Amino acid sequence: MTSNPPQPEPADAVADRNRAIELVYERLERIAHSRLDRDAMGRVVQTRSLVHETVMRLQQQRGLDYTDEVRVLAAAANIMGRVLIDLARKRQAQKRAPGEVAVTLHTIHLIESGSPTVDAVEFADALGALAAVSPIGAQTIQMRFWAEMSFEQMARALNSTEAEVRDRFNFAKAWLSRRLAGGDAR
Amino acid sequence: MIDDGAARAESLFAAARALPGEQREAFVRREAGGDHDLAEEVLSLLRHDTPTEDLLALQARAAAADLVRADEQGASRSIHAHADEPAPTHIGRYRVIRELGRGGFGRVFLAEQDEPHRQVALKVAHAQASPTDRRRFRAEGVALARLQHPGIARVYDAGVWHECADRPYIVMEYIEGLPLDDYAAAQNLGRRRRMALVAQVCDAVAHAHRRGVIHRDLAPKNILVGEDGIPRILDFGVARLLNAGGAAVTLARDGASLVGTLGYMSPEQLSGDPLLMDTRTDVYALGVIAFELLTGRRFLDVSTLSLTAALEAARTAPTARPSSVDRSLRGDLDAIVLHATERDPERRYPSANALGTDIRRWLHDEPVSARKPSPLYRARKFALRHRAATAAGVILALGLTVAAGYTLDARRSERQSLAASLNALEAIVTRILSPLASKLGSLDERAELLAIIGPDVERIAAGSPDNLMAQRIRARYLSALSDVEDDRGALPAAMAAREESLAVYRRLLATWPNDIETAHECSLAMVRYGNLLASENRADEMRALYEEALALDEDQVRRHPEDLRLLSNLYWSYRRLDELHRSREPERSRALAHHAAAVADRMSAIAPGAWRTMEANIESDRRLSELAIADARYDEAERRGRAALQTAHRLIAMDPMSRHIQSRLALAYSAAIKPLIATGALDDADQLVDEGSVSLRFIMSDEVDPTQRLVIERMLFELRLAVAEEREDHAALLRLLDDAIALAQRLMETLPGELPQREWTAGLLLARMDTLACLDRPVERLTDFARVLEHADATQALFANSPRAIGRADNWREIAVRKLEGRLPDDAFRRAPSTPLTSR
Repeated sequence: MTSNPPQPEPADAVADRNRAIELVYERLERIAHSRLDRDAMGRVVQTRSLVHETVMRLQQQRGLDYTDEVRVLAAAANIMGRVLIDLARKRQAQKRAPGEVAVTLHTIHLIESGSPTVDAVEFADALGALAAVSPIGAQTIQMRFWAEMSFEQMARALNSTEAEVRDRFNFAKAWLSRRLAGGDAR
Repeated sequence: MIDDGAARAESLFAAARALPGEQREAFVRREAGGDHDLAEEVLSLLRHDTPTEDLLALQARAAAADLVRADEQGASRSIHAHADEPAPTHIGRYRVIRELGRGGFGRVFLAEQDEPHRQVALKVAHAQASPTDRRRFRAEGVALARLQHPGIARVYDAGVWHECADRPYIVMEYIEGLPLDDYAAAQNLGRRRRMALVAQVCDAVAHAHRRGVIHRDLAPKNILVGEDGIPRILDFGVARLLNAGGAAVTLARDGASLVGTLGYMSPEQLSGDPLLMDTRTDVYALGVIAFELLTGRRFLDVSTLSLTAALEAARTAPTARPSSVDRSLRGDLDAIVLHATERDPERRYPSANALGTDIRRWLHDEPVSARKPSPLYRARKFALRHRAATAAGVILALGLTVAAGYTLDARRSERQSLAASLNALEAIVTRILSPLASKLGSLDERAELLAIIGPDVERIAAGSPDNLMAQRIRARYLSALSDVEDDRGALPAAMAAREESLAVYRRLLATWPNDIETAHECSLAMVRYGNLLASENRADEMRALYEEALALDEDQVRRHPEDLRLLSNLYWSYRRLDELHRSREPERSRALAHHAAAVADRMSAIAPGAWRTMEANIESDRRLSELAIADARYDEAERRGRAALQTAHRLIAMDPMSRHIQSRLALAYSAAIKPLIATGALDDADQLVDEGSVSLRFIMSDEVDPTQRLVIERMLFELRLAVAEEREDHAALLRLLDDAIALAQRLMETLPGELPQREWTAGLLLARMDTLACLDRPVERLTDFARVLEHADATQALFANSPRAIGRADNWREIAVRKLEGRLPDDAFRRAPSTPLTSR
């Protein structure tokens, strides 16, 4: 699939894609920023480069209808999840490699603030495990967390109803919380 | 794999969740039937149905951030592991001399280039850099290549090192010099010179911001001052690029999301969130640098603290006030530094440009904006909230909000709100009128702003006929309107507004003859109206206005003998009339030049370091040098020319971006070179012409208006031609003439309405005829003859309504014919000396 040589695109398609990418970029950026409650958590989340990487991968995506905002967002959320899982694998591999760990000002800041933390690899694993139990649930999590889509939009992206999507999402959320809280993973 | 159990759990969970809490357990057990595991699973999940969505989302994002960060650290770690590879001997066509340093991205070498021969700093990416890293590295190169400013180390070249894993590299200007703070200490600079340096750094930073680059690590160590005294910023390695939408891409890959130099980092930078950082992060660092240069102390001394304590101190310590170190810094300098280092970026100067402008206001003894009261502050808040991408947008937003605020105020008829409205209006009008306005806002934006406030200005002025401020704002408003109309080419409208503005000023001056502000502006209005009349060929009225301005300035200087602005007005009034009388009444002209020189001397006695004084002195020395040449007093001419040049260099160091000062520098070079030509010191003259070309071209970055560049090029050509003529090197002269004629062509296209440009072209063509005669090339000479005739025809067609232009063109024809007939010796035509008088 991916080894197909790239076909030249018509100009309209390029324009549509650029518009869609801009939209996604803007939206992801805003979300990454606006949803931080720094006073409550005392902790800053830095997702800028994640957004960037996601958008780059999204640009390479073929066969996506870029005129459909909802589908583009859903695809972005999906890619973001994949990017994270890739990173988690890479990190686990690095954990085995020798070499000093660079201590940065940022990590110190993070440690000092003493806020609840979630192990990143664990989170990515949890998301992967959730996908095995409830693929749609995992997708709703990603669409909601990464792309801040409304239930109505999610329903359209999944060809489902709002009520159904809400149920899946609630289930996924409870499942994830339990797993991250160190509860039984079943 | 999705088993049935999971799917059942999902639907049972949803159904149970719809019920009130106390009924859930019974419901689940009932529905699960005998499936005990299923029931327990669903009940366990229901117990975890507590966290808010926000908390989970936040944790998810935090985890994501951790992963991304770990990835970056991994990249930096793998780089350190390979850092000990030996220095290469060559990279591309550059010969490596030694290593200068290394960072997360790659290594920096001092290298040598053959053509042109120079030393360069060459930054090459690590071999292990990932494709993403390489892409970013190249992005940095491209971004930095867009930065062309005398205050920023230049990027010469970028390429790929094919012999070594196709590593990308960037070739940059290699700067030898001292860090900013060491330089100031070594030179024992005074307060003004120090602040002038900071203002120059602000220009460079503003340039980068306009091109979408944030530095993020401004600190004295990253700003080197070379022998020329110009500070240059290096190391944009941690810079961030803003794309068109304002979204930023981080260039830093040092493994830390937090990069910078503790002590110069803004609070938002310390928070580690790149989203909070914008151009105002650099403004903060500039404020810290200003503090340290002024006081000689660290803004934040973290040397004795542990890293974590230092971070805490940087985030929470109260902002230092320069006057806490040195009480004489109270007032403007305190205000400027405090305003630049506000913790809340929303309260800081909105841009490096605004900070630089304010520092210059202080240098020019004008009130600084950091101390202005609330209307502007409110407007700034608004502008910042709307994050206009360009300075123009900020200005517009500023003006519009002030206007909106004012309109609200104006509806209340209390006296107090009249004052508030006046303040607001004044802020707008002053901004539009300021010499920076044309740089900051487009013509249309300025016009729009004027159209918005116009009716209110008129209404308030009509309602308060005895209020000085209300009337003066109207006069200023009309003056701004006149400028805008003039820029649009609507001369009649420009003249009408100017005339009305002047009428208001005259009335005000009759009532308040001791008001310096009014007198100053009235004098300016007379001159500006005179200039407009000149372009209409109403020379007598123009002269009358210039004379009237002189009388006013003399009277005002008697009233306020120490006021620099009034003295400066008087200086230029003398000079203006001197220029007017130059050809017809040389004796009066000479007397006026000496009056002017006396005023310049007085200015030096009162405020030697002020830019108005320096400007008057440059012009004064230049003019006296010219007169000395005419009297064959060459020693004096040379001394004065040198003095003019020296002062001009000091002045340009204060404000290299000012168009005005660039012209002064060009004129000063001309003044220093002409005596050398006159005395036959041609080698010295050549050398100085070269020096002048280099420094002028260097100063004229791409920000400079192209017309200005052409005009200065012309000045340089005139000097080169004069030297070549004196040398009687005809072949060289011919080559120069060809280049000069090409330039003249462009000048005529750019400034189609200017007769002097056409006159220069004619002079060059006639000089070419002479040169060809000396080289014995008669056929080509005939061609030039035809070109002169053509040029004269075209000029007469273009200036059909100007008797003067028609007379001049007839004159060229006649000279050309006589030259061809051999009735004139070949050196009989000399180009008329041209000294553009560009005051105000």
